[in-house]
Amino acid sequence: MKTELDKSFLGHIIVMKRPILPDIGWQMRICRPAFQDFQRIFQRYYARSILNRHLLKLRWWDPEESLVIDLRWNVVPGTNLMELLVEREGEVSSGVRILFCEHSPNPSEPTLWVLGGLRIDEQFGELQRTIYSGRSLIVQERAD
Amino acid sequence: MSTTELNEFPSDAFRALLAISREQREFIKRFMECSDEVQSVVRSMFAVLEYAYSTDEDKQRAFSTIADALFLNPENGHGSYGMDLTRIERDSAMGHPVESRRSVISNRLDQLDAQETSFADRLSKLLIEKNITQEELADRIGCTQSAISKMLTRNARPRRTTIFKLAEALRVEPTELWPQLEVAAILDSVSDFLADRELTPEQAKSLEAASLRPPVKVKTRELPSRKRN
Repeated sequence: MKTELDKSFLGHIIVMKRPILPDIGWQMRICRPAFQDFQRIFQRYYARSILNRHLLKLRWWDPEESLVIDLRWNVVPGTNLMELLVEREGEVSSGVRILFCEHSPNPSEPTLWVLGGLRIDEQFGELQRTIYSGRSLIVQERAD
Repeated sequence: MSTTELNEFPSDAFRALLAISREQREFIKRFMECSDEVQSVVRSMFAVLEYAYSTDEDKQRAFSTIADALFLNPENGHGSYGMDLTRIERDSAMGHPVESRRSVISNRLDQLDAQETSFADRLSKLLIEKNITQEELADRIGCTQSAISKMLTRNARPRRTTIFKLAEALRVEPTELWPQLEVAAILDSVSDFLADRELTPEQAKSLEAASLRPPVKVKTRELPSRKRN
């Protein structure tokens, strides 16, 4: 499996440019598969709306800060992806790991893309990185 | 050249191609129209679908990625690819397929807005009352002044943990900042539990661990009628 995946695009070296925090905040866009991920994780519209409001905190994402308002984020090693951790406390269901990347076809509109998400208690290994790196590549190819 | 003549073509692969359905032909056509990079993504997603250890969730994610790569579905007014996250909430409420649900969803969104406004007002009032600056509060709860400012201007909905941290820093009950805090958490838990068809091994383990934990001591106040003389 590893070889099969490496043959595609994961074998390429990804060079991550250091994004600069825009003064007016980031434009936020979401790709369709991400929307479908969230529909599967949260069946209720209300829960998805709350998640949406947490995602909008990314408008003020600063690569120099470890928190986005009150949410932790990390770089996913070996990829151009970042993860935002929307944890839920004191409840049975775990939080959500949101995958996002920076891609700004128009430099005057710095843009972050929400690529999707999975439950924090789900495995996040090579297979999942392949899926989200793939989505990020589609964004880079298609967004204009 | 007619189809009959094509069928006589001495190639099994070519004959197999003629036998495929219209949908399969459409799929191949769309795949061929993609750039090399996107084709590479589609091939990787098929590898995920075929991988013996992929979970159902992984397969669904791979499948929706393939659909996204091959079947472009641009939104009107949202540009050619992707959707504007700031508009998606209201747009999807207004575009709900069941018309009667639109007003229900819209009311719930108004309710979220009202919760955030109420929180911002209460926090702002407490800061004035207790003569605490945004910087001081940020220091006490370990975030930036900018984060506090965003919460005060209703640009960032606080997490539950943040509400508890703020309450502790301001020495007030969390419900003074967010009156429906407990009710909302219980309703969310119940709803999530009911929505779960089956617990994952991790959830079952966490539930079992929770049931074995000693009960939390809750601070209580004696009711006047029970006070001893």
